[in-house]
Amino acid sequence: MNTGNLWMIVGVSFLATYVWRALGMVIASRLHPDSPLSRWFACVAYAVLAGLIARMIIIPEGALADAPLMDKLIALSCGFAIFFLSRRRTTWATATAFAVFAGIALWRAT
Amino acid sequence: MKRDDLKSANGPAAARRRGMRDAFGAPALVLFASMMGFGSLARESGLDLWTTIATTIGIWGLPGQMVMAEMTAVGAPLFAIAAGVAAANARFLPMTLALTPLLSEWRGSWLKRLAFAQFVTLTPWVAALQRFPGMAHEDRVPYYAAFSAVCMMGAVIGTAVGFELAGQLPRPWTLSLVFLSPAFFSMVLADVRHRAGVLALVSGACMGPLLHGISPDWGIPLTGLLAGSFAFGVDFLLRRRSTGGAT
Repeated sequence: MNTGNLWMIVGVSFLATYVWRALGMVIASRLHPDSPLSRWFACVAYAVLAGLIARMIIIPEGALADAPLMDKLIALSCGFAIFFLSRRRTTWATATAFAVFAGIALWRAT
Repeated sequence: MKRDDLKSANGPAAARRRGMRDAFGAPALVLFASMMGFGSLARESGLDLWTTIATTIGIWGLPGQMVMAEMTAVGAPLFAIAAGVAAANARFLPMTLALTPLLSEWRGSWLKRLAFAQFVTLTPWVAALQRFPGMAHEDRVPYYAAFSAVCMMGAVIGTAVGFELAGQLPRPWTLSLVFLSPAFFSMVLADVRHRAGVLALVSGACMGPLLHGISPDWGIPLTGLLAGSFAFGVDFLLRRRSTGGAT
């Protein structure tokens, strides 16, 4: 593909993403942080993110489609266990989940 | 709710240092690793190094970047790519809506505000929502800018490394790198402790995969509206009960 087309695709993708951010900034710029509306926005945002991440983990699609659900759930459970045992250290918990998942993936590959 | 008396500890320079320090560990490392996955995919999709890096900076949200690379690889028409990327990144609307009110004291010009909007992405957003309420107003933008800069540095380096290593990493490792990002965000969101946030996260995580099964296109936006409103409503009622209806 020629470079001009690629830059066109990058530009259009930037705009397609940026409109959401700009729209949010314009709509909410006069809102008080403790107003019910901004609390509702925060709830919607948290729910969307939790839904997206749960979908990435549970539904086999995209780049993680090849990983068995059980592997992902075991790795995440170990991560959450460390999270609560380590008094909420996200770094340790993430490292644990990653190590467990990579361990299982490597073991499956042998 | 009296938080306006929060004083800046040591001015904007100290806030910037704190932002850099907070981003330097896991956040920048996770972005580095997950953008490696994107860099490899982008090369396999026919992008060159510079358009790949420009995509990371310009879109600044992994799911939309993945969609762009995948659709470019199959030669999808431009408007279809735009629609696909917009759908994959629609979460930025509620995220910016939730973040902006926390900057209500910021006197930045519209140009600065619109530039700031570009830097709304998951990792610094979660940090901001967690930390801003206990932070002096004048510290918030410098903190966020520094945090974002470190994250973007990690992401751009990761993108370039992934691009160069494309096709050379063994399969279990690419799979693990892709898993790293949902794993990290699960842990980061598990650290949300206020009632409304916990309710929204738990109900969103339950509803997301279910509604996605019903409608892959509208499942996630619908999850946000339904689970988010449910969490807000329950929290609202509990607030009223605990204050005897005074709020």
